[in-house]
Amino acid sequence: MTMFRRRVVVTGLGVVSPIGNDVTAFWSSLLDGRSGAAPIAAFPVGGAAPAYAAEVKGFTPESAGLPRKRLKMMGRQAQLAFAAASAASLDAALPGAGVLATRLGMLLGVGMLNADVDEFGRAFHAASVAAGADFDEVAFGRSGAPALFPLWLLRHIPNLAAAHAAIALDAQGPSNTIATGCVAAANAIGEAARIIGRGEADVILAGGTDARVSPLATIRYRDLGWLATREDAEPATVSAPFDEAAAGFVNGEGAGVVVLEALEHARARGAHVHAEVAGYAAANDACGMLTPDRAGAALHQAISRCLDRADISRGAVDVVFAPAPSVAPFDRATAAALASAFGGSHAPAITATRSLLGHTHAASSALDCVAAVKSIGDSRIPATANLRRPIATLPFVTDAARHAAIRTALVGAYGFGGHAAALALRGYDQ
Amino acid sequence: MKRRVAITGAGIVSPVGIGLEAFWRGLTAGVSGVARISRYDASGLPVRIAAEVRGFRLEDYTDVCPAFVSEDGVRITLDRRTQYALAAAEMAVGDAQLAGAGAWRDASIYLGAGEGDNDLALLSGMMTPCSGPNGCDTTQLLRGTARRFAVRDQLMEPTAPASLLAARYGIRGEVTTCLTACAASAQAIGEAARRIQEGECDLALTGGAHSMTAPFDVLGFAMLSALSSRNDAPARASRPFDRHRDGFVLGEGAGILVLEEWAHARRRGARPYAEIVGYGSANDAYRVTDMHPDARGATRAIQLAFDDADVDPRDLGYVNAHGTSTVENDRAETSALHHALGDSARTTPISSTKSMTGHAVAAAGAMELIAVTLALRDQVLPPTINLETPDPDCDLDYVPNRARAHAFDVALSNSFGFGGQNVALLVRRAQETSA
Repeated sequence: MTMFRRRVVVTGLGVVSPIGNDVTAFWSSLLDGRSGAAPIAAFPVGGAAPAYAAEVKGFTPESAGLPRKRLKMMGRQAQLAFAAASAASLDAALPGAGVLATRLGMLLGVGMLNADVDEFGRAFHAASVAAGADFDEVAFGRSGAPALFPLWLLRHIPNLAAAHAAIALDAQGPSNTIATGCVAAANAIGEAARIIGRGEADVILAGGTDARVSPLATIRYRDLGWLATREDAEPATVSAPFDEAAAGFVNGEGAGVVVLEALEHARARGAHVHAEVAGYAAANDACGMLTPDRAGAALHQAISRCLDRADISRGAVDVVFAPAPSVAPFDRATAAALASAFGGSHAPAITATRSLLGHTHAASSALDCVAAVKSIGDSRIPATANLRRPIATLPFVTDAARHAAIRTALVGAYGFGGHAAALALRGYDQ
Repeated sequence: MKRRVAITGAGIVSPVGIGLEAFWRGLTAGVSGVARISRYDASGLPVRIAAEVRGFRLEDYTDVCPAFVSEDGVRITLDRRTQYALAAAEMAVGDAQLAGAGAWRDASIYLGAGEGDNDLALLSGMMTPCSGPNGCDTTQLLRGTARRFAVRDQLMEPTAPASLLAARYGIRGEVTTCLTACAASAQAIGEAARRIQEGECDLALTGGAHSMTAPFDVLGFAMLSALSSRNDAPARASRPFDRHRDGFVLGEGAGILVLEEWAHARRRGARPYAEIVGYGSANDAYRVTDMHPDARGATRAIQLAFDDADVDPRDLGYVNAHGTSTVENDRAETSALHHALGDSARTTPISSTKSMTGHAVAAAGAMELIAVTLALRDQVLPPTINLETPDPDCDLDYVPNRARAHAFDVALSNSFGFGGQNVALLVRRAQETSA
């Protein structure tokens, strides 16, 4: 059973992540428990905390096939998305496959873009030299503006991540950019499956991208109290989703893109099918911007609706990729939602990749989708690192990756703004 | 059989009027909302005009507090975009007579919204002491704590208006925000309509909110050479389809609509304004800032909307154009209308209400769909003002300068955005017999 009028399958995967810049490296890092947390390389932090983050390492835009001329117009989040989309397209063997450009779409979840502090620092400095310490918009316009790159705004327009990738892949079909915080990629993938299901496109590159390892985003999350700042531990041991000691998330970045395709289209062109998208649902806690519902109501509802629509029984779910970020209120709400959605006896194996990836925000559920698809194909579940004293009695996978036959994997997404979503992925069978 | 989608409520905060009737009076009278920027001293900027919302106070429209107060007492005034959304939603919910009802629990929200406007004084206060001619000393920047910045930055998230509306009305269904530049709220409305058609919900709050009149935004778009520089004649600056147009004028506001499954609306005795019958979305995949020279994405979005509605272009009675007043858009849009509508392009009146409202970016599509809804209701077309000298490349009937009485049933609303996003919505006058 599937909730979609046309069956929707996954035919390609692409990632750029803190633990590997291609799917093979990403997956083996997850299985081997290699953390992406390391000292921050993007900017000097001096003695400030945190001194670590889960950055993408060794990413060279040129190797991702990025046109040099266009690089200056692209923010890092657009660059990461471009690389992940290109890789997914190759994995799905789309180039030369004769997909109609007008039936090829692009839906991405994206994060908020903070100002480049060097660029705006120069502008604010120039304004202050002209007019004194207090902010003066006249001086900012007259003296600050010349410090800015003339096309700076293009790096700050969120939908240009999808636009650059759509141009490169000639994707003239449906396109959307979704900005629902940490749930954005799950929304993008779910909506893409619906669009294919109803017949408005045959192939869609869907996923998420985020690059918030920046000074301003670091300050934001630190001073909201969500970011881990502890300095008494190795960076790799800090992110501890579902653990009593969870003390905030490790700030991460990355991009994940899956190629979704109508099954009949994939068959007609002889594409390799990785898995099937069986169901999707989204819901909201209706409780504002900062805290989740204590019982995880929205995540519970998203999971329940997703499974009901796909006609998947609770006991048939083999693994949940859980959105616990290592922030206590969100971890607890997630655990409560999983406990209530599945009930004690049916609870599937649960793992939290944010223990290794850090929190990649708008990319997080796309990276989890890639991991879920890999777990189905590879019959293995990555372990949740750093989980020693669980906050709930649930079947968490800890210590080491586990072998298990996986037919159905569920990706949960949950974050600020009350947003939640669930995607059900299933091994493909004809 | 598709479930039908009724528009049963609307609310608007715009530079030409706050509330449906004030907005509509302004549009039909041909009043420009563009003026010299009044909220700050813009004399240092290359562009000093915008379409600002004037005389807005949140407490006139809702009892939602205009400030967010965190548990530790940090008090942040909600950014304008969010305040506009809260006010417009309250009007829309009241207009649909759904206030206070327990009807909203399983509803959806789909908004097109930009990020909140930056508090430049706050940002500058943090960054200036750490900055020099070579950039920012991040070591120093990270040293202090900035709880106010943190909370405000969180509230600037694109999804803040949608999440706060969910909290306000207890909406626990799908709550989504898209950010496809100038097409965002039209896309949101189209996607919300799909949810009702497919049974995801019976009720949706949709539309958009955005404010891009702050120094950051004006400077950024001016540096891209996208804005009109008619600083000395603000009311005449936005002049879509006129030969002497020289760019768009940034605006702001919010437009929120209540969409409702047709039978659901009829059961409770609601009177739909109109029905959303078609939605098309397509991408140029050409350049990030320029439209395709043949307007291929725009043409296909319009064609898809007609296919979706199963309506013939000959039945079209009005087009609310994207009509930004840039040299390129207005020419490409004219060409898209020729391609998609064939002979009907010449006989269908077209107008750009951006000539009066300016360009509210992510909120523009929703404001324009509300204009279309009121045009259908009153059988009056709002004009394109400042259309004085015809452009040979723009050879259609743009309803110049004066509103026009016009009997019609079907209208098209176009929204095209940076990044090649193209959205078209088709709306039909509510027909009593077709329930």
